[in-house]
Amino acid sequence: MGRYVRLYRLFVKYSLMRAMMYKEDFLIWSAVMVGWFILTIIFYQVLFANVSEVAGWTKAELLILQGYYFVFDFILWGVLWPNMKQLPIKINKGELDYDLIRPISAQFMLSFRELDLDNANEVILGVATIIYGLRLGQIHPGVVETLLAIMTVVAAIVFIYAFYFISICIAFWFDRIENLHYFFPSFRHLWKQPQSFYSGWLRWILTIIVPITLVTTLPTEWLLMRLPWKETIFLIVFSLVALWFSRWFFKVALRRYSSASS
Amino acid sequence: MDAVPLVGMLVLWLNAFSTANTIGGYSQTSIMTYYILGYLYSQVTGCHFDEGMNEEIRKGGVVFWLVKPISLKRFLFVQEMAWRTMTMLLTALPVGVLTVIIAPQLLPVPSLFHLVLLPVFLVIAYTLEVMYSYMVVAMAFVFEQARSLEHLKWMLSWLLSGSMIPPEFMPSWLRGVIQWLPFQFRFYVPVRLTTGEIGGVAILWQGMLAMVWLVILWVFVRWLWQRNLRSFTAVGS
Repeated sequence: MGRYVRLYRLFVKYSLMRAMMYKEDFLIWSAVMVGWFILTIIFYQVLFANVSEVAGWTKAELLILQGYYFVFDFILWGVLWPNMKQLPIKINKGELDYDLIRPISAQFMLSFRELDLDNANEVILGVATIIYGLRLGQIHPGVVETLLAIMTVVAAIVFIYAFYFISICIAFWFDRIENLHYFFPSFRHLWKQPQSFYSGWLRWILTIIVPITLVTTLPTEWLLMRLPWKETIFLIVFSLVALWFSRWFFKVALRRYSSASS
Repeated sequence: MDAVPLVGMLVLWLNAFSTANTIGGYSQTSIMTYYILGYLYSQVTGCHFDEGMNEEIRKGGVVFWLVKPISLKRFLFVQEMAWRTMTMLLTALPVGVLTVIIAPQLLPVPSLFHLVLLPVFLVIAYTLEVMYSYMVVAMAFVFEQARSLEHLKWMLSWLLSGSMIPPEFMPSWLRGVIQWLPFQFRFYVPVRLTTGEIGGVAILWQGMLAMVWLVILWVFVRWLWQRNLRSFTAVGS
């Protein structure tokens, strides 16, 4: 485990060096992220200038949820996407050997080797939005609730990773799938709304089958001190099973792979 | 997967109307109609060739296109039209058909007058979108980070076309700005045309405004493209 932590620290260091090497690029992309952040805030300002609450959710509460959305956006685009977009290309060109022969988990190498830190400011903006939402709503979560919110964030990250990786492994079965790496990120628009906004079969699917809506809802509900114990336990168990499944699925998928003498 | 943001938006608005009959002059049905129609039209009129071309220019691969005996701009215009046709068939049509099956009341039938004018406005909207993309590509000849301009284009379009939120919800000063800008032709104007909320004189006014913007942008793009192309250099491609 220690070996993986050390290795990941090296990945982060290398990515940071690379980001700093192209400072203008880094600054411009940071500005782009700020632009999208401002637009989202404008949207909620305009919406709540016309309504006082949305299905029981106040502006402050929805802003907290949006804060988490920004944090997960960085996980998706900054941490996972740079690696996931490479995997179908490597499979197609038969270049996986380089990762498979290393004395370390191939799944780890393929999943976390690169980081795109250009949009890392989304984490800062997200946390700032959460703090602003808490102040606006005069919400004061305790230490336990805050720790449980952080724990659900970790569980949600595991869930996002596992499902993203499983969706990318489909590339082993097809010669060429363009834009496969955009498939899972499309679902992020669904966790932009709280789980209670969905109803009927859609809510059932997005909570039980693929708990996408729990990603942002649970950490928000912990900070709002609504104590969603059952859903949290469900997400943690689901994420661990999904992680295990992603490892099994990768091993099965690897049997489909044949190299191109690389 | 292009329809997922639409689902998210519809879910949000459905819930916003759970405690109110009208918001900003819109009913629950009219806001659903607004976003569904807007989605269908923006799928048809959207333009994305700048995404690939910026990378081609950065890597020098654009030379392959520049030496061909056809104008690159014209080629991009036609190529994007083919993409739009595919998008129309694979994305917009299924969403439209699904809406007709599930909730036909959300898709109004425009009058014959509006129905005749709608394709004209959609062609204008598409041409305007192409102009924005030309500008981004032209900037890629001299600016390595032109991809950030793609985002700027999307941001402006998201805010000022009415796709983020109907202009009626916005502060009056911003509404005043939006009605003079060309972005509304992608989303807001075609939707209002379909629902019949734009009448005779207003249509004439919108048509004239669109034509003025087309001319301004065409002249500007022509100048920008030629100027930046002269500065472009590529090695070994």
